[in-house]
Amino acid sequence: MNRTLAISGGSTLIYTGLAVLMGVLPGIWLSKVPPTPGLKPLTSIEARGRDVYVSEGCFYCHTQQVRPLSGDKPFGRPSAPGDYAYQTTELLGSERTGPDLSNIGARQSSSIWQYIHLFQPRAVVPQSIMPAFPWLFKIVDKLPPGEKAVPLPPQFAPGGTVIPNEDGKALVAYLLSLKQPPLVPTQSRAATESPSSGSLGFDATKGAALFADNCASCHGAEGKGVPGTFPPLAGDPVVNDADPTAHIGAVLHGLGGRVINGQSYEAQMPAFADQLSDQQIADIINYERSSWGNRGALISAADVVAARANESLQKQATTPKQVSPVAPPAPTFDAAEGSKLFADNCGVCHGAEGKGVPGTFPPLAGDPVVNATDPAEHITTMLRGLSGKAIDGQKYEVEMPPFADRLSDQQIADIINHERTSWGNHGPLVTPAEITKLRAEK
Amino acid sequence: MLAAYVASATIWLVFATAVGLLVSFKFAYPDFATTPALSFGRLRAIHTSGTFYAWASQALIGLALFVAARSSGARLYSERLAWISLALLNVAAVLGTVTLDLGFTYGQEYREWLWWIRVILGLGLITAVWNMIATVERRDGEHIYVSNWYTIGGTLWTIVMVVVSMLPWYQYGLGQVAVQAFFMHNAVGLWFTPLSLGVSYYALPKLLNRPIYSYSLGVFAFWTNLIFYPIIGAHHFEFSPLPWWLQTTAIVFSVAMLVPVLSGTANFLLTFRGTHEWIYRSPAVFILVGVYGYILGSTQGTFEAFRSLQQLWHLTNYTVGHSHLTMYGFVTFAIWGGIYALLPRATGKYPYNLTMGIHFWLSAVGVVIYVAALSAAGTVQGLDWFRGLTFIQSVEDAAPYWLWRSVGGSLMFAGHLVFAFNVWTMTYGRSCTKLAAAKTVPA
Repeated sequence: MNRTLAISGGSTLIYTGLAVLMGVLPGIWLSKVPPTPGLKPLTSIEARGRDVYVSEGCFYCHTQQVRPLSGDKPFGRPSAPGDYAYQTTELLGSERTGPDLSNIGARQSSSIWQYIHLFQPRAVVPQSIMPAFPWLFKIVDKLPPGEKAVPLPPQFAPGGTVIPNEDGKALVAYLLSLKQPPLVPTQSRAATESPSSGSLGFDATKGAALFADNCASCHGAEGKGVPGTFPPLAGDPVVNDADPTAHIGAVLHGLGGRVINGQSYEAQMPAFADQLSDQQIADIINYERSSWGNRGALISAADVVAARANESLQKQATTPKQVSPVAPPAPTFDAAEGSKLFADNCGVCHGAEGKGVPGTFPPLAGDPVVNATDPAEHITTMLRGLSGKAIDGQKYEVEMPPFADRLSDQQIADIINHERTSWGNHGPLVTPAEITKLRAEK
Repeated sequence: MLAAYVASATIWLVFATAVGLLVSFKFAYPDFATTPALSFGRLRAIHTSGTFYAWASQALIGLALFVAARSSGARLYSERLAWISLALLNVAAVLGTVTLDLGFTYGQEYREWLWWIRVILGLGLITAVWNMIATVERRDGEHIYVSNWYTIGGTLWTIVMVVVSMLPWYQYGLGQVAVQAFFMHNAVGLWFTPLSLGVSYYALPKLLNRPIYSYSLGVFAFWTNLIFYPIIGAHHFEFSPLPWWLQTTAIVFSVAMLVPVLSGTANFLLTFRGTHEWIYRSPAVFILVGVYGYILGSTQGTFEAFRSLQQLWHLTNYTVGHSHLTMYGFVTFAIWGGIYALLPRATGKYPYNLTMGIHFWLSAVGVVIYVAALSAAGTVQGLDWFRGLTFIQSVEDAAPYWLWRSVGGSLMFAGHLVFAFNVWTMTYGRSCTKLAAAKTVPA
């Protein structure tokens, strides 16, 4: 009897203890992880889409965990614990036969592409081995009102009009909801990848890889597009135009409902401004401009920087809160906005009161750079970050991250002006145009 | 009774591996059989759950009940209870398969079955372990044979595991990831491992006609396995958002797992010592392969847990190769050894040496091709990602290896058909009455 007890009772007790320690307790703690700021709960249709995702076993081939490894970079930023706050059933997955989907809603935001891909993956990615999911669609003779047909390439189109059914719509809604909210206190793209200076050199291999990752699933590896759905890039007038403005604008901000060469395209092209660095966008554009017989003039990363800056100037010219839409903006600033942006981006280190942390993060109150009449150093510090500089005879080891890629010129100006008018500081105000100017300089 | 368990398990083996074979062909022909019921996403769960909870579990419980009775020199406590366990396991397996095919799934690897089906599975385990303990309690001496330590322990822990995996209160968001990390690896290592080892500890001395090398080494491996194994599940989520300490603890104990693995393997290999002239004509060779599968698969698991190697291999097909090396190369071969050793003792009917040999070679060559192909595929995939090539490039580069996987899988499946024939020769005519009547031989 004693031995039976040792084996069955004793070992089970040990096992139960370990199960509580390694399974239940971590489960309890981790169930309480607060959501990442900016993460949205699933709407009811997205939740239904998640159920379809589960029931069709999508998670067997697609992970939803971006690891902090170089191979995972194309999929988004490394996943944070709070990213999963609204994800029960968890779908992190254990195998990656297909790409990671943590950020697919941002990486491929075109619902039309998602529908074609689900109906027949090989219609958009010829080498794909993903199963087709025709049962998420129905084929009708006449398009019901309020529905949109899925524009399949002719060789994959069955007879009749294809529209997604409720499950198909829900699944696509779920996929598009998978967007990683930006994490503030991690290093930015600019920190890991220093854009080369204004020369026109471009790395064709990088360009090709970036194109394959970001553009080929719609425009095709050969730049031929999908007739009637995704426009070809080979021979496209915008790609071959000597003035790259329209080309850069399309990659930065996306495109929708445009008529190209007399053909109207319904699918929305996603914006890449937030996902790719200036150098990466330049590489893609140069790759497009020098491939498949195209002969567009090459561009530099600085052109993308300028285009980004132009855009934010234009935006601010059209926002009603700006004083004068035509004249160069006067040095006024929105104090509320400035203080909020400061709290979001700077307060963690420099403290809400600008006092910093002695010996670790420098104070901003009374700082000579913040109070200097010439704001250049203040602005460049914000844009490019700082490391190893002695301030007031004190050396600070911790590196300040650059904000050039994370914040618009207007936002940087707001933060700087907040710093220059708070905690007894009396630096003169700056304008977004000054930021733009210094941003373009390298 | 044993025959009924083995026959039922064999049917599930043939079914579940046929599904696996179909799934493997879908890598080469993704547009083959495009219907919901035959889609990859549903069949994959049917394949894994089928081999786990129908084939391996039924066979192991059948063998464990037989071992409990024989090694204790007693009769089975309740034959009726054994039938009830088998019925519950089969009901769960049938319902699980049907609901998965209809798209009802919990969406967590190895616990896809809906909760109420897992309750039925749990009841099957409870009735089985009750029967085992009660049988062992009928033994003559104080001494409990080491096999029963493993089989009773493993079944009880699995019941705890089933309960832990089902309760919902601590399974939200990342909390569910933690529970999954605990469950998915325990389900393999604290269910199939102890039962396979336990059955082998009985079957091997019977086949070799000599005692196991060291009884206490077996008991030592039992306790160390129990203490180290439950902690290592999180090594499936390295670099994930799970807490760093949880991942690191898992890596440390993955290394500690070498202790029970090496002591268990040494115990078996030392028992085998000096038998190599004739071992190849005995069913013990299945157990020998099982022992090699155990040491290879487990040390591979330890090494794969290191962060430096996991950077390359994690999330690739390498892991699929690893799981087939352990579930097939170790567990399934050990079960076959157990069946060939014990089923004839229950029924008095022996399989043909020729068909046993065919079964052995088809399965062994098949699994070697299978594991080699997927290890290579995983390495290629990992290197492609590491080098920053496009994702689709890794799919194209892995494709030839997937074809080899199907080749290996076909050989394995052909082996299963031969095995089914052997089971038929060992059982045809009479089956369940033999167990009670058989003369007992204490170990």
